[in-house]
Amino acid sequence: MEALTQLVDGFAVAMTLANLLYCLGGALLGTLVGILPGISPVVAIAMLLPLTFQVEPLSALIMLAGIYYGASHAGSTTAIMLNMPGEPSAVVICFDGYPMARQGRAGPALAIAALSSLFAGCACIVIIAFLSPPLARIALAFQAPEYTVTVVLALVGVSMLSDESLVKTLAMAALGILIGTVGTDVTSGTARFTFDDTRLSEGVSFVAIAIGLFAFAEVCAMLGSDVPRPRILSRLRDLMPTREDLRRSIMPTVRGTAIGVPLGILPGGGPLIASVCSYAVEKKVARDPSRFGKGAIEGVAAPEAAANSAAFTSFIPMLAIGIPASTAMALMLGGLLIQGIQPGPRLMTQHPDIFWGLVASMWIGNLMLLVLNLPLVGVWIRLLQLPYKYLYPLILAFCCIGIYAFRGQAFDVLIAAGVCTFGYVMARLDCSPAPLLLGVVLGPMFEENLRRALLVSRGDPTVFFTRPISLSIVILTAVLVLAFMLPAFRRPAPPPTVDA
Amino acid sequence: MTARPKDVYAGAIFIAIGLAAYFGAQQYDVGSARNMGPGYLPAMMGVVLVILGGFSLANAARLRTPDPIAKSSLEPFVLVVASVIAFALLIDWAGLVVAVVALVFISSLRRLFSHPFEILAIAVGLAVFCVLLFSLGLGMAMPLWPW
Repeated sequence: MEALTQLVDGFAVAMTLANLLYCLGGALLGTLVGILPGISPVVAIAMLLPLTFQVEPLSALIMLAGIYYGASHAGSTTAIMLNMPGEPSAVVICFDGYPMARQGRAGPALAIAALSSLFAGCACIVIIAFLSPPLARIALAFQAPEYTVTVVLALVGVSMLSDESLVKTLAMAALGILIGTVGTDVTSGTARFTFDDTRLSEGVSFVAIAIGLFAFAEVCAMLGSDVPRPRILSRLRDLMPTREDLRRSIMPTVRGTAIGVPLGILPGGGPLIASVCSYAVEKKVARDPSRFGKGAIEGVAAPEAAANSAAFTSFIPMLAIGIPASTAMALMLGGLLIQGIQPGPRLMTQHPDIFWGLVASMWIGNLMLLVLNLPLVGVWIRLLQLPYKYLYPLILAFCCIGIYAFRGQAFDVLIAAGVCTFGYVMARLDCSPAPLLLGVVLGPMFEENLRRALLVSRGDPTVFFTRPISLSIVILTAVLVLAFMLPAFRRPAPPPTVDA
Repeated sequence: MTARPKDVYAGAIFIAIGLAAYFGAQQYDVGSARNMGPGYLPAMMGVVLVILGGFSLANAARLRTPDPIAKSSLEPFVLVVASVIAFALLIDWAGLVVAVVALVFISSLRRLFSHPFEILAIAVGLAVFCVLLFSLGLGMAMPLWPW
C-alpha cells in the first residue's frame, strides 16, 4: 500500500494554493488556446512552454499538463461543434459528436464528453495507484517488435473506421507513412525527399497536414453547401443529457476507460489509438451499429473516456522510462529537462512528489474542467456561433497563423494549401483522410522500430511472431482484417461520410 | 468505361505515387531488412502502394455496383486554397496585417462586390484582433507590417 500513501502525499502537494492556481490557469489557458481552430494541444504546449521556465518543476509540469488536457478537451469541443478535431485523438469524436450537434444535441454531447472524461480520470487514478509498479515492468517488456506491430494495428484500426473500401484507406495510411519519411533520417542523417530544400529537412509539418486535411476541407465543405448552417445550442438547459443518454453512456465509458489504460502506457499508443480503438469496439458491440456516424452518444462517451484515461497513463512511460509516448509528451519531457529533472526509472523513487503530485493534479484539473468549463461552454459556443460569413475568415486566419507559428515557416502554409488540394481530390474518390494523418504521425516511430527489430533479429521477420506480446498483437490485427473482409460483418448500408 | 471511376482514379493515383516513391528511394541507400538504409522504408511503402492501388483497380473491374463521382462546385475550394496561398506568400514580407486582409478579401471574393464595406470591416477587424491576440497577447514572433 505504499503507492496509496504516496498518492495521498501527491494530493497534499497538488492541493497547495499555488499548485491549484497553476492547474486552473493551465486548464483555462489550454481551453482558450485549444478552442481556437488550428491550435492543437501540441502547439498550445509549445507556445506556452516558455511561461513555465520561471516556475518550480512540479508547478511547471502541472501547468503544462493543464494546458495539455485543457486543449484536449477543447479539441473534443471543436470536434463536436465544428467537425474540426482540435487534435488527432478527437478525430473519432467528430464521427458522432458532430452529427449530434447537427441534430441540436451538442449540449448533451459536450456534457457526456466531460462526464466520461471525469469518470475515466477517477478510475485511472485508482488503477495507477495500485498498478503502476507492475505496469512499468510491462511497459519495459515492450521492445522494437512490439512497437512495430502496434503501429500496424493502429493503422489497420483507423482504416477500418472508414466506410470506404479497406484497400483505399490502407493505401492512404501507407501514403501517410511515406510522407512521414520526408526530412532528415534520424539514423543516417540522410535528407530524404527534401529536394534540397532546408524547409523540409525537419519533415512535413504535422500541423500543416492536419489543418489542410481537416480544417480547410471543412471550410470548403461549409462554403459549398447551400444548407443554412445548423442551429447549434441555443439554451443552456440543453446542456443536460437525458436519462437515456446517461444510461447509454455508462458501459461505453467503462469499456473506453479499460481500453485507454493499457494503450496509454504503450509508447506509441496514447489517446489517439485509444480513442480510435474504443470507437471501433463500440461499433462492433453495438446492437445497432448503423446508428454510429449519425449521432450515437456511445461514439462520444467511449472515445472520450479512452482518450482521457490514455492521457493519464501516457505519463507513466514518459516519467518512468523516459520515453515520450506522443509529441505532447515529448514536449513535456523537454520542459522537465529544462527544469533539471531527468525522467527515468529512478524518478519514482527519487522524486515521488513529482510523479504522484502530477497524477493528483490531473484529477483535480479534470474536476475543474467539469465544474468551471462546462458552464462556460455557453460562452465558448457563443464565440463559435457567429454567422459563418464572419467565422470562416476567422478560422482560415487562425489556421494559417497556427501553421506559421508552429515552425515559423510560411512554406508550411503553402504545404497546407497543397495538402488541402490533395485531400479534396482524394475525398471525391472516397479516400478518407484520417488514416493518412495517422500514418504521418506514426510513420517515424514505425520506421525506427521496424529497423531496430530487424536489425536485432538479423533480418529475420519471424521476430514479430515468436515473441508472445508481439504475436498477440499480430493475431489481433489479423482478426480485425478478417472480420472486416467477411461479408457477415459488413454493414449493409454505408452511413454518410462525416470525416471529410 | 467502368462503372466505378473512383476505384480507377484512386488506384491509378496510388500506383503512380508508389512507383515514384520506389524509384525515388533508390537514390538513397536502401540496404537490406537486416540493415536498413534510409531508402528502405520509402521503397517498401512504394511497393505497398502499388499493390494496394492494383487491388483498387481490380475492385473496379470486379465490382458491378456503380460508384460515380458526385458533382460539386469547385468555387469555394478554389477561393479557400487561393486565400491560403496568398497568406503564405504575404506573411513574411508584407506582414500579418496585409496577409490577413488579403486572406479575407480572396476567401470572400464571391461577396466582395455586393458587400464591399462588410468585407472590409471583417478584414480590418480580424487583422486588429489577430495582432492583439497573437502578437501582443501570445507574444508570437511574426512581422506585422511591410516596413
